[in-house]
Amino acid sequence: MKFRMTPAKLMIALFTIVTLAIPITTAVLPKQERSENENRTLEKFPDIVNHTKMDKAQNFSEVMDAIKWDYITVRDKDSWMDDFETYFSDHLAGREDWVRVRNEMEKLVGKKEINGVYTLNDQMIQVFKEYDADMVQKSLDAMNAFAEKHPDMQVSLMLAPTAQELFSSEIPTYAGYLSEKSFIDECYKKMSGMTTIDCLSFLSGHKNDYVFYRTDHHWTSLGAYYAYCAAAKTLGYSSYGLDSFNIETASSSFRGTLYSKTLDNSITPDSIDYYMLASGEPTVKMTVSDGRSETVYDSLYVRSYLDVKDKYSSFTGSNSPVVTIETDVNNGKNLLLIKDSYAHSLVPFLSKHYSKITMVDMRYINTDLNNLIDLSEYQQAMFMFNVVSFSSDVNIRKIALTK
Amino acid sequence: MVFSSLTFLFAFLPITLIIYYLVPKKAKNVVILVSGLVFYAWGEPVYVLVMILSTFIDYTAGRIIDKYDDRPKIRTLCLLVSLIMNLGLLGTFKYLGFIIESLNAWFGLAIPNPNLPLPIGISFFTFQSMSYTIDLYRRQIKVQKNAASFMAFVTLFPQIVAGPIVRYEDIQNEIDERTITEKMVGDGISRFIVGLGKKVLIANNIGLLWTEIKALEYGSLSAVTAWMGILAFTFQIYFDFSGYSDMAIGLGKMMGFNFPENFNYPYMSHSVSEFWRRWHITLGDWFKSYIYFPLGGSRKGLPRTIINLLIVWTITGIWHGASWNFMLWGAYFGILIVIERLFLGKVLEKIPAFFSWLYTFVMVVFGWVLFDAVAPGTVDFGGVFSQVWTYISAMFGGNGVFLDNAATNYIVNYGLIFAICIFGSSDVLKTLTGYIRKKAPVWAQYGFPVVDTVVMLASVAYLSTSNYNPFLYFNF
Repeated sequence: MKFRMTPAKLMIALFTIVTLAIPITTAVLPKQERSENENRTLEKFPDIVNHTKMDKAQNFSEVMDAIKWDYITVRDKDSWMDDFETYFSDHLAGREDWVRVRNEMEKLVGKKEINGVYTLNDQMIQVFKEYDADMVQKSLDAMNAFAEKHPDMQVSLMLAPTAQELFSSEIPTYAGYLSEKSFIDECYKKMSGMTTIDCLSFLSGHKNDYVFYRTDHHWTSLGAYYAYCAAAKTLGYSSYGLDSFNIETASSSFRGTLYSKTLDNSITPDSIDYYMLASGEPTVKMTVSDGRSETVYDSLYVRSYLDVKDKYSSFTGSNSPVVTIETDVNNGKNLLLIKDSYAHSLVPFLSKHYSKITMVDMRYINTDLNNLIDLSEYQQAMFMFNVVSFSSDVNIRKIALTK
Repeated sequence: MVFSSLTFLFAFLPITLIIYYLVPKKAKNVVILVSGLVFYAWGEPVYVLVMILSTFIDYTAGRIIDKYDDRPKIRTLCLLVSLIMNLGLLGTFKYLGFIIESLNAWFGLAIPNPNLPLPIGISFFTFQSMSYTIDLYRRQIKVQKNAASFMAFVTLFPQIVAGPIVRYEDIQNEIDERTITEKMVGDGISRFIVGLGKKVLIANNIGLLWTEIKALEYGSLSAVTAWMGILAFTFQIYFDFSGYSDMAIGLGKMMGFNFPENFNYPYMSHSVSEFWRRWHITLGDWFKSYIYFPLGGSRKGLPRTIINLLIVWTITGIWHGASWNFMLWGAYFGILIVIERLFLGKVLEKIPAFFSWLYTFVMVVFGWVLFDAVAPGTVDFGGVFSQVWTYISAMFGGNGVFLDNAATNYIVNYGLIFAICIFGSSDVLKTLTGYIRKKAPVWAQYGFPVVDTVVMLASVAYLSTSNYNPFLYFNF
């Protein structure tokens, strides 16, 4: 009998290939434990036993408890079946390519924002859509209280805009994104006992000068440079001109956090630039403390991060509770920097003007700062956050624990 | 389990079908039975017992009704047992909580609410089982003596969770003797993929818009936003539900069954009565056969007909869920259908087709406001009424805003999806594919399977990456 391809046979063949190829490749391919782009551990194959309350029951009363109506049909959590579905989708063969296909389709039907990322031509933008005013007020109160408790310290606040503010004229107003400028102005109005640093006006003229990464939510070294100029003006020293620096491009294949959200390969990868003083960098000793152990570096740049995905962390290392930078500037000026990761690329510039800079990250600190450092050593303290992380941060208020 | 999950598509379905096709004919019903129980138990491990109990009682009742054909009292008793059991299950799991809450609210009582979780598909499988005992009592069908075959009818996984409501009569021949042809399987696959695409690519996406708008304060919606919200739901529920029916019908075909159709382009109707002949057809038929006709239908004079219609439609409403808004929704359609029967129907036939369509569509859309613009868990009648009222007044510009930034943003982001929805819910696509089939039959025959495969892959891209996969018909 001669084989004849009929439309029905074609349909059956295609369907069979798809429904078998996907599970088989998924089962055969080696499983990854972590998703770098999502920055999380992937689901492990769910334990066949011990998945419901009933299975876990050890004695009669626990069995009776499990039989209660409320517990028998837990559909959404804890059931083996749902864990299995999560496991399957976490390890699906070609998972990131499926996400890309999906995002391309989203763009095709006219969606402008994918996973909280708005894409202009060759620039991704993390959107600032909403914030909790009460939460922000608590942070502002805590900072004001800190300034009040430390009258001898010169306290300042720098709220950095993100790419959205610089490119706001290119985003339609109906998109409903908030104005970061108004947000910063509102916050600054409520500050007392401290100076506020207006880095937005220093940045805004340089929208097209690559001051924000295309694929990451941070500012570039150049962006940080303009913020440094703004800080210098307020804090009373003269900043180095751009021409005093030699620029070293440490990497030109950086794909950052915003890339991870859209996996859009069409956006040009970013470069990581180090700005080195042409007249010679100060000698530094950087001590990174994670609360238990300390690691000492002789540079502000942790170059091992250039080989992994998270290349931005090569600026002073990834977020740590306390990082102390001692330099040979020897002017006796010490700065306490209470910050988020935007400060990491700012610190190389600031380090030219201080004997010592200590960066603290309130997300990892649950105690009075006096327990960690000697506050009396610092003549200046600066709060430094970007608008988006500041507006949703619940940890800054912990500064109120500090006497 | 739901069809639109990786577990179903890439584990349950291939394994079940391979076994189903390999085993000899006699064993196929056992495969259906076992796979159905696994399908149902996946996520409802304990409630599968409820279904087994219900099936066992209906099977036994059927055997007795058949055996004592000349003993009317025994037959009636068996029917009553079956009805009381099925309606009792439905009442306990679906309506008890609502009744208790209402009694507590009216009389200031404090009866504890047991808060029983709803077994998936209970509204569907109880109705299917009842159709068997009632039809057997009426001597319209032959008894099923093989317990496995009867159980296969109830647990047939394609339709177990969300219909179509397959009456025993519909598949009584196929359950015992069916042939599976190559063409049936090919058509079934194609139909299944169409349904999957409707659900995953269209319903879920337009549903995002409704979820977003529904979460806003109704008292500040602009008119355009309010319209877009409820239109989004209008399309979401159609593509979700009809997509699910398509998947069920397709899977049925792949296994050798011809299930009844459930949707026939309902949004192209020219009267509300016609809408209900095109929307959830199997449910309408069920109520017609087992409630409307036994009540006397339209044979007992006009006043009685009107009462019958109102009863049937109110029950239809309640069937969709234990809450006031569903009852109102049912009664709303009952009233519209009565008005159409009294005089409006004749008017609709005379006016230009566009206007009768517009009237029908708008009425249905207002119906969806009753159906879904109410926050879940609103037990009191007043709460339901005020939410619906606020929403409808927003649609008429009652908040003083016609178009705002939010609405513009929705139009930009969802305009194309709306266009796809309008296109997909009309029969334009059917006409178009028919035309292509006629003009270029070979291209069409071999091209459509490829298109279907692309739709399937696109659906997988959404399924595997979006956590947003709520299933609208779980609670009905």
